[in-house]
Amino acid sequence: MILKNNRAEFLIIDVGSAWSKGFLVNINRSFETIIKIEDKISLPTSIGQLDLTINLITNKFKLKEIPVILSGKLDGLALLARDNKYFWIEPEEAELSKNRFFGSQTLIFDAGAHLYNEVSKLSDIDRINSFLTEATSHIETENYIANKKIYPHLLPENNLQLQIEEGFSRLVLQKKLKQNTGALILTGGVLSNHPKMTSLILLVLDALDEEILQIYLDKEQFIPSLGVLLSFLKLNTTLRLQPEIINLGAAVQIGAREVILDSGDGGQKITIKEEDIVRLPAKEGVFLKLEFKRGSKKIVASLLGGSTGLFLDSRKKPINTGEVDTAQNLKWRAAVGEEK
Amino acid sequence: MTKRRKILLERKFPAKAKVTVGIGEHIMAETVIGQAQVSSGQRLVKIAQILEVRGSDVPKYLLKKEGERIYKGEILASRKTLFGTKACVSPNDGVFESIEGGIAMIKLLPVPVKVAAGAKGKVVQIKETAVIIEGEAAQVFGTLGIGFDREGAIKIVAKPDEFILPNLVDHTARDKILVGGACVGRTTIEKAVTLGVSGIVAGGISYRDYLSLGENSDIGVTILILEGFGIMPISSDLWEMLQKLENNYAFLSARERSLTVPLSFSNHAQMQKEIPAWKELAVGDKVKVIGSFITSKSIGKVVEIGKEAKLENGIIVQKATVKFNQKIEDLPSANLEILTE
Repeated sequence: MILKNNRAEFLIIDVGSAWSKGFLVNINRSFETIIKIEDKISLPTSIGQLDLTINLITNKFKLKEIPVILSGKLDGLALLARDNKYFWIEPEEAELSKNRFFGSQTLIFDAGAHLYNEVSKLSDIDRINSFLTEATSHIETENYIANKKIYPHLLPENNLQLQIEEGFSRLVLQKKLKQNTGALILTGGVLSNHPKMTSLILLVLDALDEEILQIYLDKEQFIPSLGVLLSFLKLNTTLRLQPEIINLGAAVQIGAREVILDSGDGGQKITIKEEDIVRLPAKEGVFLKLEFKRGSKKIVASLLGGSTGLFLDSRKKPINTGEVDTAQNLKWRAAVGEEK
Repeated sequence: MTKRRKILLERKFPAKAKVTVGIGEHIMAETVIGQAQVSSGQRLVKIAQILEVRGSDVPKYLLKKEGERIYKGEILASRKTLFGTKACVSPNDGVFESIEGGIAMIKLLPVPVKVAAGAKGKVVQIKETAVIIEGEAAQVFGTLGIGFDREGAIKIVAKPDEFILPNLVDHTARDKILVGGACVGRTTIEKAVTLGVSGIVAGGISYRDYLSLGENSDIGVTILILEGFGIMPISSDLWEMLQKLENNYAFLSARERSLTVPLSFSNHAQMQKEIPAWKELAVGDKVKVIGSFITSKSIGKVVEIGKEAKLENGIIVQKATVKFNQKIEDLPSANLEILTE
């Protein structure tokens, strides 16, 4: 695709099985490639009548005559794109472009509707209650999760429902994290819409085993559409997103009592109690060098400060597999600095 | 939910049948469309156990030969003992099919069955195993279905916000489709199977019970769940319609997650056409709240659609103000289902 004067504007529509998102993006390739989200809209997907949602999205931007790029996994979308003279990108192709762009050490964890098909064993779902700060029965949690499978577009109305959805993401993330994962991008569903970033940090810490992670948050839920755009433009170069993906900070599972942290000031020794979480302030963009021992192995990690800081976790994993311990859960939430 | 629509109803025969209607013929629900001979299966009789002998010794005590016609209560085999005679009688009419290891197999005699149309309409196709009838029906669609296709007359057993407790299911429920209740539990379902109930239509079921019944299996009763998992009262629009359909003959399909009620002239008048569709939420729309822990809000009317607002949990959503019977509430518009009229 040739850009006129290295600039172009597109409307990307990503049709999901629960929600559809439309992004009006502006691309500028003069000095560096900048992809700017000018405007966006998110609507529930009208399953069985897909043109309704898509038309509502295109109508929002109807004054601008801009090319529309459509992608999604639902049946009938390719035909709909053809009939409306939209550009069509196969979802598998978009997925490949996205993964190629971010590399194999980055895990993009999308908490979209498909997440609810990843775990269905009751014994797994029942583990969610261990992480709640309000008491509820296993049956209510199971029913809530099962209803999300039927009505994936439903939004959590209260704090308990939000924590249940958060808990389900935690379960799936635990299964997806691998030791070689260096960066984690949280996107979609409850993650992008979560009002408390520190809750997301705790969610990641709970799922950590031995990983050292730089954590990012795609607040705009743009990552799937970025894959579509990269595919369409055949781009695989460094680029800048506006607004940027938020760098939340870093999370490290510590197996030692002592850690040496060097943030450019010569280094300081930090002592950590057993079964604790330590939050250290680390400004966004500041390079951090972390040294500690895991068994007899010396670990040296280079990390970046982020909007929430650096988190060291000395809790034994997996944690909280027993009954609900509200006081303990509140303690962990306080440790990561969760605002009430 | 569709209060009236044209349907093609496939009336399957339980076995190969002699069709008694012709293509183009207008029929009533009670019209016999075919006659079939239904095999009732077979029964095993443990003769060795009853006579207290080894399996290999049973042939010498038999009074009937293989292939012989037998009647219920007739003696199949007997053995004299010191304290009298031990006898084994046939539990059914049938044919003494075979004996192996001291166990006799009685093939039950085929039973003649007359199949009624079950729906008023026109015969449009005749197949070897079914007749297709074009007619009009009310249809209710649910969110979950379990079991094979079954049919029966609708019997209301509980109010929309009650549990269908086991004591609400008695012998009068045999061959019926039980309707009502915010939740049906496993104990009630098991009792329904025992009593020969055809189907159950309820608002909710717990996910645990649903999994324990087997998502894609049949347990002897067909279940249609209208709203979802948990305690889910049947919404007032559906309830109003189901009440009007009580005692009507209906067809339950778990595969299509539907309850189809063929309409006669008398109930045509009660039903008005309603077509389900997606539409953009607007002020004045009749809506119901879906999927919430608190589902008793039932049906309300949208009085205002607001811009983005924060929920109590901090999530920012597009809110809609909905007026219910007693109160006005702000809810995420994504959690509302529009009821079209």
